[in-house]
Amino acid sequence: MSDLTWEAFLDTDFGCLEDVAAEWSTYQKNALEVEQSVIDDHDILKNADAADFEGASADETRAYFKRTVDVFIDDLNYALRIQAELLLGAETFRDKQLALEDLLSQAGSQLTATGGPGEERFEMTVLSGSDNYSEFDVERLEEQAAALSEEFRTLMKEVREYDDEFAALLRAIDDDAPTLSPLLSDPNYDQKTADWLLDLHGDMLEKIESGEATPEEINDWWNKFGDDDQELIANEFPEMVGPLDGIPTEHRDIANRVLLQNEIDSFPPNLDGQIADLEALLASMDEGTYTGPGEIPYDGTTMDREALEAHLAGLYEQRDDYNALVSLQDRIDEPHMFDSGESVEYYLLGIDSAEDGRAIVAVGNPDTADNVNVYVPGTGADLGSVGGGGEWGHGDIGRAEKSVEDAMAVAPGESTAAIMWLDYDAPDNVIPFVDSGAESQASSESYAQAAASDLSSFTDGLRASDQGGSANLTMTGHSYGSTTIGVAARDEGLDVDNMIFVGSPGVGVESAEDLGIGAENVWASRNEEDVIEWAAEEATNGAAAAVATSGAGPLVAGAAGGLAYWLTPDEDMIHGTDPYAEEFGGNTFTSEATRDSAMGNHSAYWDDGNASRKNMAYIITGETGRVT
Amino acid sequence: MSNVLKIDPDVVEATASALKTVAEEAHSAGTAIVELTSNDLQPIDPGHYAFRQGLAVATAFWARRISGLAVRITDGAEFMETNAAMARAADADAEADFVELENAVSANEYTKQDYYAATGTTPPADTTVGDESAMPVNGESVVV
Repeated sequence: MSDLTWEAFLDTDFGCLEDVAAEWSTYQKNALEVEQSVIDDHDILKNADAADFEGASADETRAYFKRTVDVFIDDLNYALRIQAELLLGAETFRDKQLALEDLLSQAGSQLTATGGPGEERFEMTVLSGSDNYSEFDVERLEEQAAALSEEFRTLMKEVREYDDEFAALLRAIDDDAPTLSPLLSDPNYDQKTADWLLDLHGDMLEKIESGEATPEEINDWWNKFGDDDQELIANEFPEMVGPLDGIPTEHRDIANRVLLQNEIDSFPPNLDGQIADLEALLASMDEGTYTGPGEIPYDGTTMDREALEAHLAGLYEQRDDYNALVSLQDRIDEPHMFDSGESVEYYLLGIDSAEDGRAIVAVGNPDTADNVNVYVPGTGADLGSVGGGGEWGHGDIGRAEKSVEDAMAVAPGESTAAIMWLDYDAPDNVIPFVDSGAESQASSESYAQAAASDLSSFTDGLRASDQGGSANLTMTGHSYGSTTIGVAARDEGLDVDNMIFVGSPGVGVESAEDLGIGAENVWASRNEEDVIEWAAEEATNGAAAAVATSGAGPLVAGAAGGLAYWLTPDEDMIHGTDPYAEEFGGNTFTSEATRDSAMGNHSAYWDDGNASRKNMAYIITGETGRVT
Repeated sequence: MSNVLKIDPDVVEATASALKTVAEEAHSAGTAIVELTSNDLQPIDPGHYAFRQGLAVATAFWARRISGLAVRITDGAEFMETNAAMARAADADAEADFVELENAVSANEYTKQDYYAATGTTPPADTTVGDESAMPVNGESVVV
């Protein structure tokens, strides 16, 4: 608490406060030259491609100095605050000082100021009863003294309060000051620097962690960091950055490639050896050559035969997962080369090997492309199949590649990126095996409902990170993937320009208008031999017979069993009105049955020579007038 | 994994030296404004005015920040000198100014010991000198 006396206050010359404030002003102006003297004056620090200092360590040095300088320039705001507080202090004190001088002037010679802090008052200079003063004069002086004393105390109270307030403001000047950036010689510099960078944005991190941050907000926040810092954070916090919608594609790719490598590294290095050992052990038991105890020593423990077989099955699953991840990594490691000789980079926008596995792979950079196509695969899609192969023979990344290639062919002057979006748990089957007790997963809308929020957010993220801000954005769904898109549009909204549904079992709505982008922007196709057509037929027997003769592989057995999926009448498919039907109200386009079987034709839409490819390319590139 | 650094040791060392000078000048300027604040405000008695104690805290904070800046600039300059010294050691007989260092020190691996080892510099007895953490903390500073 200030115990400033009125005498000391009256005697103080506050001009020195203004002088010092002026010195701080000059100091700041000079200090602002730090960027010039630390970076701009030195070619090897100013130019990222300086030949005299080139390489990762040189880049880190430049980033370090930039960070250091940026922090200091921000810090100069504290110097500015000191200067501003000094000026305000001088002005405020001087105003109060003038008020005090005025008060003393009013008191004149007949009243005398006296009293310590809180007891300031005016006393009469002359004694009452003096010959020169009447009783009336004394009474008047007493009233004046009382009134001025009240003002006096109030004024000095205000002065002391301001002194305290001024002191508190100056003491609090560093309350919101961030910690200084790590030293380059600090151990674990990268991690410390990334931690420090994120600590500067604690409020936003909380918002992100709580799921309240929109992709647009995330993009705005991310763009506040410099390029080097963005790369550093993506490398050091891949779990946060990798799945975050709104993060630009290049940085999301960095994070997800780190995650992919981490997942690959998490597998035991001798998986094949373990499997071979176990297979040999079990084979020796089958051949009767194993003569050991009933409990078989293996892998540091003992197991009976049943446990060994279960363990081997687990190892097989691990190997499948490992192979899927390595296959994906190999595939996206180098740019994709088209027959035309042109090439595009892959970007990994999401990866997770848990359960069936999830992945988001972009062919070309959607942030810079004129046209973007998001392809959502359907039933049977999993991490093992996105690269090609698998029971369903999806090759879902291949379909994204083809859509880019086709778009380049029909719109050679434009850039197109395509994204294979498998960030959801797609149904594993259409029809369960006989007597399996399982339900048809693809007849359930729950998989699409579970994906809706993520797909909607991903789309918003694409819009947020679109550098041109005007990409023609198409979402293409195949089979159950079309249901996923439609349900997301219905439940969450999808900010896309066009939707394409091929081989669709219904998209969760009754009409194209219900998708929220205008019926004129909704397109569907189904070739005449696509097995999915039977989802709209009445005759159970006919459907069963057709499937049974389709060569559909594992589905055949299921087709002979419960066919709830196929029992819907006419245009009412299992997931709503057939989007290929006139009643749906959208557009349709031609596609051909290029394969021999009904099941095969369900996956024929990306076959070479199929009219569907060119038609989809027209839609994706905005050339809808050329669609047939 | 190799960390290739293409470097002209002469240029890098000259830059590092200039940066150290910048650090010293920044530190001097920061110290000067703090001292000036103390000296020029003598007419305002700290025994009477509470804000003088607050100002002492604020200027002590600034002194720490400016010291932190100087320490960081010097630290970065030493990192540059370390790589320059390693480049000279790796290619001592090269006539060309330009050296391609195959195993440069990365920022993540670098410590002060690398600097002492590469440059032959002797570590100071008191390593907290010039470190902003050694400066007065909030509320413990003297009135300026």
